[in-house]
Amino acid sequence: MKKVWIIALKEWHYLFSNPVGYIFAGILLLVAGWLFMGDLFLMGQADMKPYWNVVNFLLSVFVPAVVMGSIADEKKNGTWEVILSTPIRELELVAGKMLGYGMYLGMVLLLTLPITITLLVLGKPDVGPMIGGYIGTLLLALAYLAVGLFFSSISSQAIVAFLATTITLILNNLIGQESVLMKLPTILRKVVEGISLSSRSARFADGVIEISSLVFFVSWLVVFTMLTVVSLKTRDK
Amino acid sequence: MIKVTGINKSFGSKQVLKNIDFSIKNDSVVGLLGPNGAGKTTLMRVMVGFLSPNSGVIEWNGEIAETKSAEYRGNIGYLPENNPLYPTNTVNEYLELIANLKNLKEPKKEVVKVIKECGLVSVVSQKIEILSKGFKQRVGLAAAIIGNPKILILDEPTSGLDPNQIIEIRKVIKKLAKNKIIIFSTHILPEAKAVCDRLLIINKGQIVLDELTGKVKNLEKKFVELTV
Repeated sequence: MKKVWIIALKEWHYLFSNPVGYIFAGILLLVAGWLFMGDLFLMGQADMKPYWNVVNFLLSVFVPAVVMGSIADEKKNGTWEVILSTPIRELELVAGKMLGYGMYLGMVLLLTLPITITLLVLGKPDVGPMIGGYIGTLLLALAYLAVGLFFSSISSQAIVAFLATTITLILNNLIGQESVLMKLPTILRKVVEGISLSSRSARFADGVIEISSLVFFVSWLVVFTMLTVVSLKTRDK
Repeated sequence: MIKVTGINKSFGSKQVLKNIDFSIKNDSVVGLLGPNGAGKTTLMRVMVGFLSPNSGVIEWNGEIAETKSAEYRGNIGYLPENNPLYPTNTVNEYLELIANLKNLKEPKKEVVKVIKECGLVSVVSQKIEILSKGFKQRVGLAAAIIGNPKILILDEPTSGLDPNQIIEIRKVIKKLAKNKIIIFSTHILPEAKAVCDRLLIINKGQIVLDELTGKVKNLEKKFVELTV
């Protein structure tokens, strides 16, 4: 566990020792805030669900951009050779990267608190869905992160990792949209809805925290983490 | 003592290492020579546990080593080719990172020790990206020797340095040679002769010469023949 924490701190340090961390957090918060606040007064409802919808879509581009170089750049620069020649296991390395980037994404979500406070001051929103929205969005961001890490591990080109992750996440996002789901037969609709990260996350923002969705997100994280570990272990094949 | 027996390594259909056998006693500096593409880096990567061989074993102190185990890798110090570092770290941050990953009991103390040994005191708080190539090489070397590993594997440690920097790095390596096995790869013969007490020449994935430096005569001629 100590090494997981060491790697997490290394990633955290990396994100804040160059403009990457600041730029992406700034862009996400500005764009999401601008899109949401523009409609807020027109709707006249103190509801954060539209905000989470915007954030969730932006995360499908934002997370791949942040995480694309996490392993790909280490491969390209050769630093993974240094790290993996120390007594660290691949699982510790991947878990450390997940934790480091996860802490960063958690911090970015905390920076949305001024929006929440504004809504609490202006109206009387239901607090349950607000908290659910934070939980759902954090789980969604972590699930996106796990996908990004996996694609970063199978390429030594960060841009390839970015494109592969973004396309995967946007497709996953699209299949969860009501307009797409409506066109599907009922049985297929259930299946597609079940694997759509954004639609599961949206239910949290409705204030519904389902055990099945929690299990789904945890399973998703475990599966993609293990795929990343396998990808690192089979580096010489 | 480290003993390498029957190591074969292929990438797809290309066989890079062919039945490599040798053993190295403690307190030795061994030069691994060969032209570009001979298999030096792959052999080193197998020895540090970064790559797995297709067949063959590595024995460490009489026992077959599981090269990917934390225990084995704890005995190894490794400076990869091109000396990859984290440029946004300071020298101290980078060395502390490596010391912590190596599970050292007193990482900060070890970092102070290697900083002195490698002559990095004057640049300890500087970011790696602004250091000269010579200092960067010293940082890589310092990271490799943190924790006093029993086996030190250095892949072309003087590559790209100017003559003065090469002499400085050679001095550091010679100073480190006590109670260690040092494997040092280069494709520059005079350099290997200046630093190493034994030479292993590898060509097309095979060891073609294994001899004490002092016993080898007309080596330049042999090496040129091999390189051609």
